[in-house]
Amino acid sequence: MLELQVPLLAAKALLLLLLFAFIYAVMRRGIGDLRRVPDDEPFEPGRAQDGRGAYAPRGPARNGSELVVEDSEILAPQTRFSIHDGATSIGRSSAADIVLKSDDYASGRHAQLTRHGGLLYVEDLGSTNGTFVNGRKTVGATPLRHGDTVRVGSTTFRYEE
Amino acid sequence: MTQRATSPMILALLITSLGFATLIFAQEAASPPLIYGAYYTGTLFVLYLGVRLLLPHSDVLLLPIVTMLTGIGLVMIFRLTYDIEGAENLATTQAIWILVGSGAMFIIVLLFRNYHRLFDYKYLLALGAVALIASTFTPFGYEVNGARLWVAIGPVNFQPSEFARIALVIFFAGYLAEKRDVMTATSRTVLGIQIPALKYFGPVALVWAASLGLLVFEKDLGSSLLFFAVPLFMLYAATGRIAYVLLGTVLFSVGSLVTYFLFGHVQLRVQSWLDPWEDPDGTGFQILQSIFNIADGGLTGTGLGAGFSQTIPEVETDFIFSAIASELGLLGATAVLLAFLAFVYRGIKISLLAEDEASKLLAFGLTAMFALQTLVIVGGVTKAIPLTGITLPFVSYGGSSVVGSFILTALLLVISEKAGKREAEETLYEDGA
Repeated sequence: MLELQVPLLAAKALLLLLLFAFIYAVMRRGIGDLRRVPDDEPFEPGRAQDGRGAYAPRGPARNGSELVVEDSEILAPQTRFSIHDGATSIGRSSAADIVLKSDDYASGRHAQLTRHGGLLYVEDLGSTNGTFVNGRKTVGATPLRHGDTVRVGSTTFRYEE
Repeated sequence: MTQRATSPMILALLITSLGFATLIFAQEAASPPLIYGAYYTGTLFVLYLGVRLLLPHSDVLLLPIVTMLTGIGLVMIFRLTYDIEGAENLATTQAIWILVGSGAMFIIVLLFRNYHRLFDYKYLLALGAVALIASTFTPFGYEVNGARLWVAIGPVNFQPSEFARIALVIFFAGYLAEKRDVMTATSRTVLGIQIPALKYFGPVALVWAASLGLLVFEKDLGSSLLFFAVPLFMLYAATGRIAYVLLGTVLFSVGSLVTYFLFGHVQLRVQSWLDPWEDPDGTGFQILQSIFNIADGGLTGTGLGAGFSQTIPEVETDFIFSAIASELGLLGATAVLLAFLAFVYRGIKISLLAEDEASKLLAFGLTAMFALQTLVIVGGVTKAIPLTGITLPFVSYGGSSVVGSFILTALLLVISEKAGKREAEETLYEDGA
């Protein structure tokens, strides 16, 4: 009886071991990106580079950030729009948070600003003419830094943190 | 995107080999023809190398997960049927279906690298999907266990709904991506809930209702649930409006109540979920055997071949998870669920990285369907929710389900190739700048 049990037990243990070795191998490759320091996080010597330090939002969401009109056919220059938490939409539709009224180059819901992990992202919502950050057409959500320009339709905004 | 996964791939194949070895040497099962094992190992490894070659930026980590799940499935199907008269060859049949699935995956990877073409045919796909489901009502269709979901054309028997739902996800992704802007812009507010204009919402609702209605009359509860929920998830992902979630919950509650009172088989399912002891030898038998076997497994299981899960009716299809929990224990079942989790995580990641909305929605829809299917059947066999007959993707015995899951994975792979390529180009750009 015992001779029969030993190889069975060994096979059972080995199978479970292999299963978890597999899960470990998959997880190590598959979710490593959760821990990677984002590209936009500047490397500062001496600051904690562990996952928590890199990802913790720097304090409560800053309320001071604004979009300032630099150049526009429809809005007065230096008009300031403060960016609240959550999503801020830009577009020609009157339901947008920042309304670009009667701008023929802007779509109804043109672009959206979202704050995520301490960074403000701008994302084009499938507009006809696209959204440009520093003159480059955006693809997907693009993080904004202080001083970046965002062009939506005929209007160019400057981002101030 | 993960571009190299050779060691998980080898581990997955080792798990399968060890499983078969245990059964053959320790349990003295008659070995299935070894050539099938060679075919299986060879095909999946060639598939892995082929995908790495053809789609160098794709998320190839999906393949070892598929290999591990199909491998565990094969081992369990073999273990459950090798000594049953008339069903000895089920494992070899399943191995053939895995080969067919791999072939389908290879064809998609080869021909549909530019998968955006699929969105141009979205209305045709939607029509095709509804026609596929309706085909079970033609003379080709036939009933198994009271549900009319099979079609036999010549020697080939298949379940059309397994393929129809992939076509429908492609339709919804293409349509919602195109009409998302007008749908949100033209919506009116009724009682604080934003309702999109009927003109744009109409086609979605029509296809949704048609496929759902047909499935309800086929008595295919599991598929009905998927067809109901996945479009709603996609609508929510496309518009970000919580109203759809609320609307969906209300519709689901009403729909469940109506089907409960209309159909006897739904009442039976709910009763055997609430109180299987009411009729332990009849309606409650299957679910009771399932939870007995899961309990019998304990932490590390009885060991392959030493359990009693053959007492569960339909164990090799719907109840295969109970057999895994019984023979590999809580630990083995957890490992299998973690593999599903890793698959879903990679799917969501592909959706996040995809560049255009249609691809994002397609990847999300496919992943949501995969995740929900797993949840519904694992929840069903563990008596967490009422049981709805549906297969555990890749693991359960069943040709249509296996081939469908391979097609789903192939689509995720081609989407991830586009996303991974863009990511690689951006990294290059930033490094060069």
